Amino acid sequence: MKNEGIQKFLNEVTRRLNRGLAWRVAGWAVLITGIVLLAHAIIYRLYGMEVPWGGALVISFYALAIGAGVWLIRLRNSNECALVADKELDLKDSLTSAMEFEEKNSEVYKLQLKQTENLLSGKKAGDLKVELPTWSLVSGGVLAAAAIGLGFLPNSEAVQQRLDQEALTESRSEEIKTELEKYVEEFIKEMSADEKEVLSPEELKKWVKDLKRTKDQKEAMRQLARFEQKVTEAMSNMEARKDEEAMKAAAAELAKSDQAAARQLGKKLELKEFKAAEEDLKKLAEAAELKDPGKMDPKELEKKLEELKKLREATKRMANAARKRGAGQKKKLGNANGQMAPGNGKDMGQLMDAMDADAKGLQGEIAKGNWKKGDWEKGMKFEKNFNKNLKQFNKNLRRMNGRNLAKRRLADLRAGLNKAQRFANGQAQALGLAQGKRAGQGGLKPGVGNDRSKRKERDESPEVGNVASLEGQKGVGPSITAVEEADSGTGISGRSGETKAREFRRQMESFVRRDDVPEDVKMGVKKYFERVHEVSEEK
Amino acid sequence: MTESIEARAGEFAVTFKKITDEVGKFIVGQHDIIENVLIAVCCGGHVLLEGVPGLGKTALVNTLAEALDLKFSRIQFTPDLLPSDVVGTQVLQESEGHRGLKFQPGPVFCNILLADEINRATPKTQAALLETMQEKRVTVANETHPIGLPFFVLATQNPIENDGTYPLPEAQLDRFFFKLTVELPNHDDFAEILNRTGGNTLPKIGAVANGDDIIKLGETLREIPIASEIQDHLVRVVRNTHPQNEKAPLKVKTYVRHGASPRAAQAMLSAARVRALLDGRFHVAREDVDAVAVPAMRHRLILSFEGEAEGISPDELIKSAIKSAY
Repeated sequence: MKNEGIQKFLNEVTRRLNRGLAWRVAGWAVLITGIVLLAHAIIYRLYGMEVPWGGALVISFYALAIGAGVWLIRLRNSNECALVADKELDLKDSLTSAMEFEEKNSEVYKLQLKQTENLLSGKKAGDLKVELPTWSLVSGGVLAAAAIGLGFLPNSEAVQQRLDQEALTESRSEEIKTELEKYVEEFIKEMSADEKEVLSPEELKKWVKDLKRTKDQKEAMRQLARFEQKVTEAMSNMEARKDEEAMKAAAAELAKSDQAAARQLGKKLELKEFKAAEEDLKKLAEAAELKDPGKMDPKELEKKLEELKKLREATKRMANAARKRGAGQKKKLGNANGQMAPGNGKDMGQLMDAMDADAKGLQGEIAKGNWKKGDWEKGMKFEKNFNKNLKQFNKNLRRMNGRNLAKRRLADLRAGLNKAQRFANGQAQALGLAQGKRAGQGGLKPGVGNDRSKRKERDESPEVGNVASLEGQKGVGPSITAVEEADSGTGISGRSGETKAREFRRQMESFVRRDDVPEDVKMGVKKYFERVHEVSEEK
Repeated sequence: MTESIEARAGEFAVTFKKITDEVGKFIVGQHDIIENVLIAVCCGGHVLLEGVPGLGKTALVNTLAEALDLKFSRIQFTPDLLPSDVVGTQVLQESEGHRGLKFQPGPVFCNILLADEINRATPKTQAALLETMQEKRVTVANETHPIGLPFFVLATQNPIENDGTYPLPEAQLDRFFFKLTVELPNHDDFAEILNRTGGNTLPKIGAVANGDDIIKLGETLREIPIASEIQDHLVRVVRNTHPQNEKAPLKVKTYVRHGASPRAAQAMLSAARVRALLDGRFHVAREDVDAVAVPAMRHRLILSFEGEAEGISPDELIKSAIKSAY
């Protein structure tokens, strides 16, 4: 049976002690909160930054929550309170013993309870000292007030500038991404089938997708530089200079022809109008096609033979050009980076050679004039082989055409990226990629015309734009001679030429990565060195 | 036992006070020593009194024996003392024409035995006391002779004259309920000693209690309950004297080889109960436990080499064990 007097006293003691504990915990919580808030504020102020109120609120909330948690964990039960009361009120463990003896009935226990009750009648729970943690409450309050005071100070000028810059960079990086996405979308829409064959639209989209919104200007520049690097790599993969050189040589040879069709073809090849050249070649071949010469009218046959002559003139010139480039050159062409690898394993020179051989064979067979089935089979075989090689040749021309177009578009994209870099770097106030892209297109408003004439093709001549320097490269200067000697097989000077080329590449790379050089100059340097490499490789 | 516990508790305090007062007639000061000796007597324990010669150790025991109206014997321990000199021996006797061996009881057959300068006897003779102290009986020639109750051994030893002494073995020390250190009296007590003993007459001590009273006191004290919280405290104090105990203080871990035994805990509980009764309480308090911890355990701690070398006092170690029990 519980003793009411003792229980009541114990309950009062428990309440009082737990209240005291709550005050102590609150005092510590306030003090620790004040210290942490002040430290938080000082750290921000040391960096010249405005103190974020959100952080202060979080710290205060956690301090209160932890304080409440500590109070709940350390909440005293009646046994602990009895021990404290015994000690503080000099009860000589009467209360602790009484709590245990309450349930027992023996005489000695009853005596103990009675004795305890008598002892407690002269005591009050209020006699237990519960001190307000004034020092910690006041100190914590002062520290918190100091932290709040620091919280009202604004950002330093430098920090504000940095934050503004970050915000600007972030918005610009976002704008660049959006504009590039639009730009690439338009780019893809405008791509022909030939271009899509050599340049994957998905890959282009992925490059743009890899650009992330960032506050860091350097990171933004890095991302754009990576993008540009990918574009440049893609452009270098589009290079088919040695095939183009073969075509150029063929064009030069065709220009010497007294046949108008051959000269026309040569002109188109020279202008890199590969698609048109393909059409011409196809027409020539169709006109000269001998399906069944035995059944042909003699006049028609004569006309066909005349057409075949024209075709032979063209193939002969092209084959001569290929042969002139030499056997060693042919080998190089076959192994060169980015070269066409025709399905039958022949490069453009070989194909031209093979076509001419077939055309020559066909001419020979026609000259025999045996149209009987068994005798004309050889002629048919020549014709079939010719058509097969022509088909491959034309296919290669289409691909070269696609590469050329894609390369031009990539060059546009790179120029756009250059604009984006200037914009991200703060060197330009407006990006205007899409605008720039549209600038030369779309025409005027409906009903409004103009009399301007515009060349569709780009002039790839190295002389354009920087005549002086490029003339130097193309002229008879000693460096050119050295490279030529190297290529002609002395070995030592060849290696030195390669080393020099590597050195130039390295110098260019290090130059274009410098922060203190304007993007325009970098772009110029890049183009210059690319041209230098192109010229040296051509040699 | 029809008397109420309240009455018996009251009687306990009265009897205890009467004995204390009677002893106090002759013994000047030394209140703690007198109280602790009486506590041990009430609990049926033996006491080892340690102190330099002339501090009144023997006088205290003599006075107590007079005040208790009990059979008192004294053995002055010397190196040539034989076990048979302590417990008794068989002697050849002629009775009605027959000669036979008859047991001649030694001085231990008494109620209060004063073993003066116990550490001067050889270990063999000291060991003869062992069975007597613990079992309260003597076995000679395969014949066991019980000793009448109550039986207390109050031994004295001199801590400074170590030449020609045989330190008591641990097993024998553990059988002592308390080890009390008799200190030099203060100036006033010194003067009073001279006043009381300097004349022709000495204070007359009368018997104020007898053996039955002592047994009754023992029965009464064993009825005093102890709350589990307080008992836990007692156990913690004892366990804290063991260096193996995780919660033992660093001093104990450094300077103690073996801590106090459960017998020490039993002695502390009994002694704490006596203190509670003397304070008029029907429960044991932690302060009772703390107060008896030092005399009950100081002879039961075995110091390590470091402890011995640095002259560490067991009292200090026990106090740190008490402190860390809270």
